[in-house]
Amino acid sequence: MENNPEGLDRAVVQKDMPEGMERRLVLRLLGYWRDIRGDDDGFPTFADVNPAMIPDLWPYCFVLETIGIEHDPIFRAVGDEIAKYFPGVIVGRRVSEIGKKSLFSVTVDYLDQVFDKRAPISHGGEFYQDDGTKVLYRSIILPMSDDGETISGLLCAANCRETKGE
Amino acid sequence: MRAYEIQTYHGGRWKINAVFDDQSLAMFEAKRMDDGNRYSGVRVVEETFEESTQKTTTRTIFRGGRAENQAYKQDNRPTPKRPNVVARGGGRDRVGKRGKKAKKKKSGFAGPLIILSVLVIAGLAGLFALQQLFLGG
Repeated sequence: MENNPEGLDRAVVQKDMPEGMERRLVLRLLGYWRDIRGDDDGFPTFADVNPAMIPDLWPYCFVLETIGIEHDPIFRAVGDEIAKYFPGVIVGRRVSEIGKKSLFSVTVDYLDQVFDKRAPISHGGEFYQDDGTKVLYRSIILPMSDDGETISGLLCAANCRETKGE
Repeated sequence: MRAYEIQTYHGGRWKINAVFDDQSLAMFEAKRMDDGNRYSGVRVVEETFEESTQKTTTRTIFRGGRAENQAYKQDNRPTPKRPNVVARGGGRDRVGKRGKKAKKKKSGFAGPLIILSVLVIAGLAGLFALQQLFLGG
């Protein structure tokens, strides 16, 4: 039996993780974010993001401008697929204008934590739409910067699955 | 409320790399990062926030990476035992037999007291000799 220091529990990491884990949207986007950041300790810039390199991810992404408006960022770009989860046009709107009970609202709900931790954060959960449909989602927020240090924007992504009648 | 922080070791300190609210995701990503050898140290820290007490407790649930293993071993390496001091002296006291070491007995005050006594006696003898030299001339 291992003699671990107090407070340390050594968890057994299964070699065979749940099937399809590596294909999860949030993990793939996180991997891409790390790739464009490289070995630098800072944050990547939006100029480094090439949607053509992530054609299967970009439709589920959206961009928030935060510099100077961290309390109420503005949607600057939205992927085609995730845009379907908001009635009307969301680009140009502030976070405070989008209301609750949407994939966008649950995703931006924890953006304060990203400023606090200064690291990518992923959340998942469920919410109910007005028609009673339960929506299971997984999202991620990735800090971006123009100077590598100050968070000037957020690259976000989310996907979901609707479960009617549950 | 639980959060799982993936931390990486860089520049002599641990830094938050990503945060998940799902343990399996965090563990999968940490393992992948550790296998990738980009980071010298990777660990997953579970943070639990208790609403009732408003306190946060943490525990490390995964460690990986070269630096962390070295640091882990360094922190938990048993204190090396100091070898017994071999008593050196002339004649029969010298270690003539291989592998056999004389054990030095812990004497407390006796050793320094003996040395002090020898010095005092030597000093007195020297003074007496000088006195004889000057008076006897």
